[in-house]
Amino acid sequence: MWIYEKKLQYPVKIARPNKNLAQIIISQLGGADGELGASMRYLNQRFSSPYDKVTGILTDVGTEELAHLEIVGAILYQLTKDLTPDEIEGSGFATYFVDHTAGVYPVSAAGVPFDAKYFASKGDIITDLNEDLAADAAILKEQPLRKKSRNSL
Amino acid sequence: MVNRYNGGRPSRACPQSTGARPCLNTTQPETRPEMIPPTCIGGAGDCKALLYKLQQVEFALVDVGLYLDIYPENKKAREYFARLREERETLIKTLAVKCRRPMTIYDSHGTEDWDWINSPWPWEPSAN
Repeated sequence: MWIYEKKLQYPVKIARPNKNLAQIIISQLGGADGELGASMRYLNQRFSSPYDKVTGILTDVGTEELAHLEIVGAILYQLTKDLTPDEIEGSGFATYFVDHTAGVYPVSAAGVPFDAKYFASKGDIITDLNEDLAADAAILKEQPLRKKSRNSL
Repeated sequence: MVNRYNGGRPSRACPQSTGARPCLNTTQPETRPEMIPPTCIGGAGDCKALLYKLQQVEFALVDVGLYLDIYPENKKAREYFARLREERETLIKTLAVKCRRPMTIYDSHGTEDWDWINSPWPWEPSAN
């Protein structure tokens, strides 16, 4: 089971809303390498783990990913808080706003809703750990790209 | 700060310090002697500092916990974990009793009111 702790793992306090930034950051919520996929990946893979050390780390990392999911949700909530229709119209965020308004919903930056196809759970620990490496390597590989897009905003 | 998701009512935060009041819960007598001694803390600012400290302690706890999952034989790491855990327990109790900010539903002392829903929601900027 899980117990909710009523705090963020890391504080989020955003001074100014930014719809363009939200449109990019939302991929970290519901994109292929986002926190929802990461948490579901680890928390489902752990059932078939034959080693206590690995089961332990899959449980604890999976739980931490849920905390990250909440941090990203808080970032998106604060970035899109109190936006006026005028501010949204004509921006990249407008197409998201049509269906979800300022609600937090897991989609990729391209607007594709979250899909369980983004992760694997094969019942074989070596296969699963390789998939975990691939998923986290994807994040590392995307870092320079993300830095670039952040500078251009 | 007005919260647009609770019918426009102001968000409940920690009680503000008036400067004259040394403790948060001076209006209510200490009815739980089993709780930590009533150390005087100043107000909302102190509650925020306590929460920030808890976030730091738990960040370290999570990390050393992950390390121990793989290296459980490391005695130094186990002792570090135990030290942090004690610090965490004190912070959790202080936040629940003095700041009315229960971290989990089991930490709620809401006999007068249900502080689990009255304390600030973590994603609100005012809660951070």
